[in-house]
Amino acid sequence: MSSSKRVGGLKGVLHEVLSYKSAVIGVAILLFLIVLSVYTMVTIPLPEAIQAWRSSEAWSRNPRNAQPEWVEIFYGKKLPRTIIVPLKDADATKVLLEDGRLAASWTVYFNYEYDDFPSEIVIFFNSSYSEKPAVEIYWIRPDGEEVFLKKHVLRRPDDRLYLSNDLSLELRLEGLFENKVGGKPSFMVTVEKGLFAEYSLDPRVLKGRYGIRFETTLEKNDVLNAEVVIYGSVYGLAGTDHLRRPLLIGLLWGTPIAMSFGLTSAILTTVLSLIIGTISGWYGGKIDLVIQRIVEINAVLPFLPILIMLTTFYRIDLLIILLSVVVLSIFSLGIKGTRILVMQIKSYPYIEAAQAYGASNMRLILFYVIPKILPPVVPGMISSVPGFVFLEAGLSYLGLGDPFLPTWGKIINDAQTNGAFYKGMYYWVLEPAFMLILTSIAFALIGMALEKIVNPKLKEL
Amino acid sequence: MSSGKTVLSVRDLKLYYRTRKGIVKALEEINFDLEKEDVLAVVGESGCGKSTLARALVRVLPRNIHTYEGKVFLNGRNVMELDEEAFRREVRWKKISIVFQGAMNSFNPVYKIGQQVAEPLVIHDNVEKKEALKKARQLIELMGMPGVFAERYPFELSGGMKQRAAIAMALITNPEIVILDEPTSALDVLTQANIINLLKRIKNEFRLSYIFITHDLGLASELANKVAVIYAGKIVELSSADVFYTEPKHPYSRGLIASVPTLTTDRKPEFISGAPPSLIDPPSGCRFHPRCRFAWDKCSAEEPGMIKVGEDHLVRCWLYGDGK
Amino acid sequence: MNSDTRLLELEDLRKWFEIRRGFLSSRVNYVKAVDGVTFSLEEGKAVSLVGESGSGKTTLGKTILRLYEPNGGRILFQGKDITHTKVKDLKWYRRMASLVQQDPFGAFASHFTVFRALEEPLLIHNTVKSREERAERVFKALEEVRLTPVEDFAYKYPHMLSGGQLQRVAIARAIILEPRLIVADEPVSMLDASVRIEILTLLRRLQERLRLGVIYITHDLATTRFFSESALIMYAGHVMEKASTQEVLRNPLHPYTKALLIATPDPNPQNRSRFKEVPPGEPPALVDPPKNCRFSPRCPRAFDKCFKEEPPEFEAAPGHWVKCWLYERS
Repeated sequence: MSSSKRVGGLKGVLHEVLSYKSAVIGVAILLFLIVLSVYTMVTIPLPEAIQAWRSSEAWSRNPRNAQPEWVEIFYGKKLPRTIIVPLKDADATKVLLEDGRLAASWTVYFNYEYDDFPSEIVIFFNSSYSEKPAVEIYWIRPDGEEVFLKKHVLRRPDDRLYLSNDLSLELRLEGLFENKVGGKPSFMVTVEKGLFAEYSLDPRVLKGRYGIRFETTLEKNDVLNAEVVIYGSVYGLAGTDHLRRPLLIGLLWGTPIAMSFGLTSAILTTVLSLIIGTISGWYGGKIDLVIQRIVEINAVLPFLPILIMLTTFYRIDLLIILLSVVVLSIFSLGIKGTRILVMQIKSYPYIEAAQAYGASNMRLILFYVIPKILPPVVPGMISSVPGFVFLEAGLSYLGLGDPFLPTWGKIINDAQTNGAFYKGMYYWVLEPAFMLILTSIAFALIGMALEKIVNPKLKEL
Repeated sequence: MSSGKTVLSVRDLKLYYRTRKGIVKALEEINFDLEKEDVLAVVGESGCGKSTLARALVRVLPRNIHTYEGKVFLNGRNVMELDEEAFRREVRWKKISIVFQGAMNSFNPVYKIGQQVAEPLVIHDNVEKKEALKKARQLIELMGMPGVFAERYPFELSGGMKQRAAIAMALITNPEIVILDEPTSALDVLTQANIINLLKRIKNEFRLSYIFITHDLGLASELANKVAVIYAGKIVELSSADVFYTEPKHPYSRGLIASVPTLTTDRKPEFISGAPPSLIDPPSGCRFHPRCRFAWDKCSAEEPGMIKVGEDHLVRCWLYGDGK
Repeated sequence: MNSDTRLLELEDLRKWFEIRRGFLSSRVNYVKAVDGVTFSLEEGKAVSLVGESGSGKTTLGKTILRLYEPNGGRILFQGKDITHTKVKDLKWYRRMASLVQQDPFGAFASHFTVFRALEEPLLIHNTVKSREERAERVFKALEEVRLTPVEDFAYKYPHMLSGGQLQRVAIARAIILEPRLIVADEPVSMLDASVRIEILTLLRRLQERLRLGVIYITHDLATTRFFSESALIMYAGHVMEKASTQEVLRNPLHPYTKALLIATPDPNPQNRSRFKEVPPGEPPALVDPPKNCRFSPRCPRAFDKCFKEEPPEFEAAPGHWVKCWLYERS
């Protein structure tokens, strides 16, 4: 029986763990993740997050598939952020007509200093009217040129005008461009390029003060409100996905979900396994036989396929997945190790001594056996957390995870379904992958350090 | 009954080893002579360094060794100067062999006894396996067991039989000196007596010298003609057995003898209070002074050297030197 | 000697262990570790149970404590028959009879401090309700075994103490519930020679003062001398000789006892020039032993009857019993 002792409980263990540099890194990362989780849960409560994740309206002003803002370091140019130009700020002129109607005209200005073109241009209307007004929209370039964009009759009070998808506008702009340049430009003239490019053969952004003028005739009590949204190509720390949702929310919320899933699975699995192994080793006989056979059968069962089967046929939600994972994992081969350990401990003199002074089986198991088998099991438990985190991510990636929760696996799943790599949107995959790896590294480093403490022989490795 | 020829001469042997808590001064100033057919009993409590001494003599050293110096003259030649390979070839198991404590547990369970007994011959003298096995069988029979036991596996033998096999293994290369480190510690009294008889017999037959390490003074008297008492890594008394058992001089020796329960005399055994000191930070001066009934100032201030109190009788104690 | 003062009585006690050969075999063999032991122990007296390994002495000790259930015979404690009492009904007995084991380092869970280890029996039996009272009892027990100052020892872990100190703690643990009987199974064999006497002296003094019954199991005959009033010599599951300790040591009758006495080394320098006359061989395996005198294969005095029939116990002298055909006429 080894009598190498680490005395001092939790504090002593913590001190020892921190003596390993690798573990310090691991603990630092872990603390960071915990702080992130707490921050996320406090600032964006889960129900709201799920709600927001499912809605599309909340993100309408975000660019679609935008890159993270910091990628501009790699491009070396200033990439465009989204510019929202509300009509409220406009210089308005209203002329009262003879028939009581108002001829109104608003002009809004904005500065565009970016080195690249916007991704999309949409005009959001928010009006009330008795009769659908017709609005004429003019575009004023910094070089003085005025381009007539469109005459648009509002279809409904909250109508939206997607300029980017307007083919006739695009063709018109292309024609205009060719005239101005005196030939076919080297790039494809999209609406954004057509409105923002210098008139030259190469694509160059025309920087300066732009203006948009709205002209319409309104009835007496009509109100015309609009917002011109010039979508950038970058957004936030993490970019956006195909539904314009900020990836940051997914990454942030993925943290507590991954951590809690991983830790809960690991702890539950380990504790239950420990109990089963202890019962098997201590009581022996028939119950030992039965448990050992279950363990052996469980070892040959295909874990992932069964899990996939379960999640395919039954209502998928994270709790069900958690429980299934735990149930399939507790009869692992680790039980054989626990059982041997327990059988060894059972043969030690101090167990016999305790029986002699009247300790019951339950007391012996709880106070004499478990404190001895728990420490060796803890490093394994910590090291198993990444496995569970990846499991959840993997299931989500396969589309079998909880469809409503914003998790890292779900983000990767979205990325894959929307052809992220083909379209060069590497960040969409790399960011959640990075979080997964970071979490794994944290637990792996801590687990390794703990293992070295518990098993001193490994110190030489 | 020594023949006067000095086989082993140890001078100022010192061994320290390193631990997390500090340097353990396991052996210091070890000096003694062993003549042919001598049996030197090295007695002391556990942790005093006697087993370390056994290992030091055959150079089976721990990994964390710090100091290992001194002179060990084997038939006149200082073997401390030999490098590892030369020592292994010429000394270890060739001139000096050892029966370890718990030797019966150090047999490899997957090999037969005969093979293991024969192994030293194969390794050292490059004897052919078949020849070696034959010799092994002979020795096993000499140990009082049927030759067929060579074909048995260790688990098939009892403790006493395994110990005999371990002794056979120590003898197979015809060494001059055999170190016996608590050779009968886990054996029954009757078996022990049989093994001691065996050891006596083969000593006479092969003209061996023994270094017999034990904590049991009664057992020591069965074989030894000389006694060295070790306390806290140092020899505190060195004398012939006859003198030692009748007139022990060092207070520790006297305490040891007094603590042996006897069957024949009516003396009630007494004990020495206290415990052996730490070898990392031994007491100042005489290492025994904290437990010594007779200690006075000088004992804690200055460490005594070995003082001659009689013919071949040395004691490390101020009671016998200058100062009293 | 009326049964009122008898603490413990054993009548033809047997403990056999089953060994099953193969999964399907119906034949069951028995290792007859204890095969017919009879003796009684009075309150406040000590008996030495002497034997080599394999003699059954340890099994007997554990059977007496009901860590095993006997296969035959009876155990009576203070007149109560506890031979086949179920374990759950034996809690009271656990308080009355305690155990001191051979290995002091193995006797304690390494994660319990000395205090906690001593508190365990009190917690289990719940006789002392308050924490302060328990602490008092623990400290008192430590004082009894001379581990003072108690605060120094109480909060140490087992690996911080020496063998001798730990064995004192084991004794403290054995007396903390104020038992009537202690079974000490080779309590000093693993300790240094110089410490043995210390521990045995302590145990003897405690026994005398607290009027405890002690069963002292040992293989070292010499240590029984100043320890026990009576002695039993065991060999291969049988009690070969039973008498007062003095008688056994001064006037051994059984050939085995005589051999033991010869074999035990005394510190006498003349020993080296003599060979000890001891019987060769080893104790027999106890699997289905033959029904004769178990010592006969090794006995220098064995004759025909010894190989055929198992001798009963003969009272060769008042209070001196020998299981040997040589003493038949009495």
